[in-house]
Amino acid sequence: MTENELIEKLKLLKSVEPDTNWAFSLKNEILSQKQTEIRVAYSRPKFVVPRYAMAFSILSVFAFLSGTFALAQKATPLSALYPIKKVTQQVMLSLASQEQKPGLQLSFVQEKMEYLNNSDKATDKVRLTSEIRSDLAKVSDSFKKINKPSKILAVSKDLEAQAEKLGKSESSDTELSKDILNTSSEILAVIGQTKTLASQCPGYISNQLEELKNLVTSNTSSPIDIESTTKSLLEVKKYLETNDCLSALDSLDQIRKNVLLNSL
Amino acid sequence: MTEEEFSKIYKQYLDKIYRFIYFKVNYVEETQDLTAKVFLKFWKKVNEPKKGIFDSNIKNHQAFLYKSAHNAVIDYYRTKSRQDVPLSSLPDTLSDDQAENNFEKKAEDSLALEAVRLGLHKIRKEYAEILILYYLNDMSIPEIKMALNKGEGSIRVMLHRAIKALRSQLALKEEKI
Repeated sequence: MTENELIEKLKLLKSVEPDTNWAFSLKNEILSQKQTEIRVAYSRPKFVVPRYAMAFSILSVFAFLSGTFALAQKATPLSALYPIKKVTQQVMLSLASQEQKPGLQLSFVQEKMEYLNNSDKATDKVRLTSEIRSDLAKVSDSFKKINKPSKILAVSKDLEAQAEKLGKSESSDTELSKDILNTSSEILAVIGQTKTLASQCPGYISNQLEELKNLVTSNTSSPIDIESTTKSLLEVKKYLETNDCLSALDSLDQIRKNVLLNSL
Repeated sequence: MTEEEFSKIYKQYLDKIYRFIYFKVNYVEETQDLTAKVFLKFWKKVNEPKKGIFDSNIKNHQAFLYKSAHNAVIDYYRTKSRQDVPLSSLPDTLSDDQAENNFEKKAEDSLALEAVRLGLHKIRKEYAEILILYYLNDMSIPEIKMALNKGEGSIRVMLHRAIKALRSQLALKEEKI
């Protein structure tokens, strides 16, 4: 690549922009800081409530909230209860393992796409489009954070199906269509690469060992944790002896990343 | 500072600060968190009581924002676990199946840009920083000098070395494929 070509490619990275909704919310949040500080300066009036009344109030609120949460699960993105459903979805995501998150997020995206395609109101379409674009960025993030090939393979079948379905989704919004295509392409590309790694695993392990050897011999200025590296290499040997190539690949990949990080 | 003045500065610098941080941390959520911290710090600073009538809490808004962003990224790396390395450090070769379906061209284009993005992540941080400021954020050499507190001569030299380093990194990647 020539220098000019590289500079042109660099400039293409200018397309990275913050999400409009997020930017708008952040500005409001920052500007509200001043108001919040002013409000705190005023003292609040105190109330005295009988204990039985307090208990009754708490129980009523609890019953109301439980009913509201149950109703909210059926809420559409266009209904007033939808924010509560979003909270539930966030809780589900926080409880899910890293490799389950992209699939879960994709299912939320698919649901919103269906509502988007059925919606008539322009304002709702704009809001939903913005939310979906933000969610797609989060899918991409979650997927990048799955750092073991064996974990990708574990979820690849469902994730592949979801990514293909997503890739076929249609939208009148050009930017959304671009994001959909990019996200599904990215997921499918990485799953494809991982499957190739799995099929070429023994050959790839030989290459990794060679690369690791070169890294270690060329990296004389930074110290390497010999004890921990030796322990990890023995683990790799154990996995290879039991024909568990992917686990060996995971361990070897981790050693390589640690050596690379030490050399930065 | 009035809300209107802040909004003007926010609009002017948000994209640039966001990009500056994103190409260092690589994750959207973390980028959003760090960007929020930078602008919140800015807002708090400009609302502090002034020491004198002619004093301004921040003399150069751009320099302040970039310095805050730079420090925020450093703090982020200090607290972040060293085990978290982006998945996209896997080699970018496509499988035979991929070559037969219509995602190939899109995936190759994305991979080319992805290679540049990864290359930025792998070269020295000062080099990546200067490339982002000059080519992505369209800052001039004097502006970069204010933001990074370095001499103009050093910046020009670093720019030249940064491009060279990125080209070498990308050439290395192409050889592996």
